[in-house]
Amino acid sequence: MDHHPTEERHTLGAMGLTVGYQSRDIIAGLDVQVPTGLVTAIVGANACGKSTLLRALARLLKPRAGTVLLDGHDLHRLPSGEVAKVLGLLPQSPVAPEGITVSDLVSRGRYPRQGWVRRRSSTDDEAVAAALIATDTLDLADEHLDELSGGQRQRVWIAMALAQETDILLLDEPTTFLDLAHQIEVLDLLCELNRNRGTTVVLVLHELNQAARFADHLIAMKDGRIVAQGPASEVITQEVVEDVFGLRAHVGLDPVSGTPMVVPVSRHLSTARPRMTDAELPIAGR
Amino acid sequence: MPSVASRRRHLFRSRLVTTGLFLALGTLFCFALSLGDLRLTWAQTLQSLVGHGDSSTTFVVQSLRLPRTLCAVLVGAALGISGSIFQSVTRNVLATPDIIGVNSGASSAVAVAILTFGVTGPAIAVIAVVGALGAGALMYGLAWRDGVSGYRLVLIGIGVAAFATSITSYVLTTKPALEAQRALFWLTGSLNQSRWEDVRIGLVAVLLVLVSAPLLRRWMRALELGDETGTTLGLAVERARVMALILAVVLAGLSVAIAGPVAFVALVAGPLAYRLTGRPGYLHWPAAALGALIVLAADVTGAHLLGSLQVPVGVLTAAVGAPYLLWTLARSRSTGRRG
Repeated sequence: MDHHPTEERHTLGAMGLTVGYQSRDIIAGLDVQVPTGLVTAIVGANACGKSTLLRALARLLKPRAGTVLLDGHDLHRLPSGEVAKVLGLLPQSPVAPEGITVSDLVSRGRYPRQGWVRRRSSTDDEAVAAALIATDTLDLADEHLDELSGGQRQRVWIAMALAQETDILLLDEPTTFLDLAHQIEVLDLLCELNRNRGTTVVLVLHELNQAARFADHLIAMKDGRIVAQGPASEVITQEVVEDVFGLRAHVGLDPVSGTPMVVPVSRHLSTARPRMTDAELPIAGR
Repeated sequence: MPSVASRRRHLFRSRLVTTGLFLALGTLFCFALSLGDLRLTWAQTLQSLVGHGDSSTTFVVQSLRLPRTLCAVLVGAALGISGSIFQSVTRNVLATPDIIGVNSGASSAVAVAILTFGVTGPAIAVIAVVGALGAGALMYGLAWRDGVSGYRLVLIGIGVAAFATSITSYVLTTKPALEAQRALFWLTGSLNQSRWEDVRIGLVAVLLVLVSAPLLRRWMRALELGDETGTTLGLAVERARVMALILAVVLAGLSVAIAGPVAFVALVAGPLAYRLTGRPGYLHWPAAALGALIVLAADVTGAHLLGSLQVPVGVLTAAVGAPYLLWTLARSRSTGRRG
């Protein structure tokens, strides 16, 4: 598909970023750089500021101090129509008019590339079709969005984001309301997108093991700060998990992918029915 | 590509329906002109409309019937578009200017102006628009909380409507019965007094509707997907929303200036357009055509088809619209939901 290795890739980051809601700062003075062309997962406990960071990077929140930098320029000073061609976002709970069809919704992803005069072209039709094919939703084109299953609906929303053909795609907890099979399906889809189109993907994820398996780069956050970042093998350690989630856990290896796998130690299991001693547990890197 | 074919098919149906609606409107328009004490044939009507009939029929059609008929069309189109804008922007079918207090704000401003200050003429149009904008700004201000949720707007709007109506009632009770009676007639929504001056007020609405068409049709595609997706698609969401709502409020105000608060047209035009075209979201021309059709049909019925009974247009639209509102409330899921 559209892979342009020669083309300059767009970069996204933030310097001295302070954002918050009402009177409270959620994130203060944060520096971050999203690695270009990779899949990045932002992880952390509830209310650690991971969604807030994503929303700030997507210009849904205006920084109180500092800047979000797109290609080195202040995101909020760039023309919003131009930003929309480079930076896409799938919100956590997107909304659409009742009764909208899949093809109508996905074609709205072309909005930034259409103007007052030039309304719809064959380029748009091709981009919409490509997005539907990539997400395996072509058969659903005529269906109403409200009548789809959760997994199908999420794929359609991703298709809309794909039709926007942005170089960078941000997703706020794209797997939250899905069952396990659909979670894996969506994450596979995003990895393929990254591989085939070279899209820089940034997603907020709850599931640490999924983050470890699917993301090239992890950003672990706590209280609005970045505690650790890097590849899963460096970030997902017993110390970081305990620090970030306040959870005692053993870190082993995912038998399928070989990436770190977090196995929580619960009070119930560790005290009531101990099955393995620490020494017996498979430890990452051993 | 099936995705393209599917969209073409939807587009074709919606164009067909829109064309059909405008043809129906044209037919009803001519029919309305032929009705009255002097019953005209289609040929006579068309001839006098273009100025080729005999002088008496030309006078009847052009000076007596045309203004009223045009006013019906203009009021209906303005209300249809105004209601659709509100419904799309707030994503709530009940958030239309006749349910929330926009029309009430305009009419109470006019009632005060007429009864207390004796204002007449084109100034009434200005006062109606100012009243509508005042009520709109009050609601938006009260409902705004990091953006505006449709549900909050409806609840606050009903409060504003009640407040505006109480002002109107107070002014009515302080005036002599005869004056109050005349104002009351206007307050139910009537086209009986429509003249060419009113058509001129309506032309402002026509101009707004024409100029805003490409703007609205583009904005709404992004705005209907909510603040977050809208922003992501590159739309300045808050600015677009406020401008679209100001336009909707001005259109509602102009319609009130011409015919008084004609109820329920703004409420039904949008959903009806969706039902006919099968396309959800904002539909500029179908909503305009349907609004115009409803008001014109109600006026023709009230003025000519009920024998000696003369029923103001607002009474008829309310009689048909109120059951529709109850039906919507009974089957609606979205009104209780946030957003």
